[in-house]
Amino acid sequence: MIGGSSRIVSNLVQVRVSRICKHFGGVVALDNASFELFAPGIFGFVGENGSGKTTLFDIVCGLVRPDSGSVLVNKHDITTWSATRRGKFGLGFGRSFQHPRLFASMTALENVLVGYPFSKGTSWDEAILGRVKYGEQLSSARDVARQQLDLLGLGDNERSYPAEMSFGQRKRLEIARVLLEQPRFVWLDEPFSGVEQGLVTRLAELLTHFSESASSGVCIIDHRMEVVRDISTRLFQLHNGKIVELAQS
Amino acid sequence: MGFFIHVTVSCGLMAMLSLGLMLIVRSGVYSVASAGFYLVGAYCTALGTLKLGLSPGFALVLGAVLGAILGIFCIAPAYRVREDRLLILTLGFAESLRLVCANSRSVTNGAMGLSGIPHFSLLGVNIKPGTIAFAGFVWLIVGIICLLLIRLVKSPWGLRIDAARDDRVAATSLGIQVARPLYIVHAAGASLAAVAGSLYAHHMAFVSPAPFTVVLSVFALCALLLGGRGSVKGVILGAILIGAGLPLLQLVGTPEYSASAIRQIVFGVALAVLTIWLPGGIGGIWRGAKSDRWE
Repeated sequence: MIGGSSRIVSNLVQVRVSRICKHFGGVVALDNASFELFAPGIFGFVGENGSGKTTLFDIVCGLVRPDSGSVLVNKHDITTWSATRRGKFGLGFGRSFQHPRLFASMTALENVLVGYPFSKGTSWDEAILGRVKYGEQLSSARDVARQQLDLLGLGDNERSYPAEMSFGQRKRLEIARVLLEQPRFVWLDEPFSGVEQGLVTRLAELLTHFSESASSGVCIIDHRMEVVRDISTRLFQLHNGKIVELAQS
Repeated sequence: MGFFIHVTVSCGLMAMLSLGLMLIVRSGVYSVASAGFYLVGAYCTALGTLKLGLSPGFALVLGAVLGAILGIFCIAPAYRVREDRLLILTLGFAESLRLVCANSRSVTNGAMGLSGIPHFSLLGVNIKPGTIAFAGFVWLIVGIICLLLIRLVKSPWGLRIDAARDDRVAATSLGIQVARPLYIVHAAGASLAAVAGSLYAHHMAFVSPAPFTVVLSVFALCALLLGGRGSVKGVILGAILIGAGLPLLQLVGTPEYSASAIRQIVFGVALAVLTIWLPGGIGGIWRGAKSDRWE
């Protein structure tokens, strides 16, 4: 497994979301939402549709700007950082989406490979002029990506394109891509939806194992309350944009 | 022999235009500005060699750099407009360049054009247009471009271009820079078109704004789609079909004005047929894929 690059994040990661507000027109998506997380651990976020869960994840990951409030990682204010900057400069954030966002022109293996740190670190001139022997590195990266696919039960699908895969397989493929980089915090939006019951247990075990082995924080939004409750170390509920902590184990 | 060389050079120049466009299209932007960058290269060579006394090699490099800068300028609004509107924007950009050349009579001699462009020379070696050496030089450049392109698109960097094209949000969330690769491929694509334009100016020894219309850009796009946008070999084949089409029609005795019209009809129909039954273009045949997957 590959460790994510790190600039402001070194060991333990603290994410602090403070008094975040977000409105979409007249609709209040988040209203003074605040919480603080320390990796490792599994953190569940539950709530009815439209309660602001996805918006919260989008704001933390830099895909949506909040109207007010702040997001701090290890006391560094990253509220104004773009999503690319958060991903690139070693914040160690990984994100999966409610509807899997995969690269349609790539096979499952390439979809995973693109999240690999080496893929992101090669510049265009290195690629053309061959200053980097990327052939060898690519070969080892492929091996790691294959292992990741096997882990998620997608070993037989490495040559499949996303359009040829079921919804549940696409969800798992997206998770495989996110986990490959071993991010310090993973934000998974409904990772269990569309995944058959037998695999839900396996996926839950995998996320627990990942959190422990990589010392990462795994944040999960899901409607399967029983699964989220079983694996979460802390559980938060969102209601009309407000967030409350339900339980801490 | 002269006719054969002319056709070979025309095909090579069309291949350069189409390969540059291939790079741009790979980033997800369909552009019809190729003729504009082609014009930039041609006029840089004409004005540089005739009025500024620059060496042909330096004028070619200058054209390529200017093409790259204008390529970035052309694509700068990419994030602010929708794809279909971006196509119109590239069309307007290329036409503006052509009209500037057509109306700046004191500098470009307007529609009368500039004649007497010297032979191309590199490192003291004179490569006379209309010779096998010139055709060979053009195709040597095409070969080098092909090698670089294949290496680029198969690299992790190429994977990032594909990722940014397929889903910007997902690419961004993975920490992939979306804007910079787009600018780089546009600069490179425009630069290749400018190099082709420069060689065109040497080949014809004359430039005027007339050939640099949107029709030329559309032909480059046709070559790309005929050959298959995802296949370098396919694009070369498409460029040969387009580049050789008009001269060959003239060879069989068709008057020039009819040959041009026939070529447009033939390629229009071929494009429609291929789009429906073989979206991967001709290149898709030897890849064994009927879909238009990227290579």
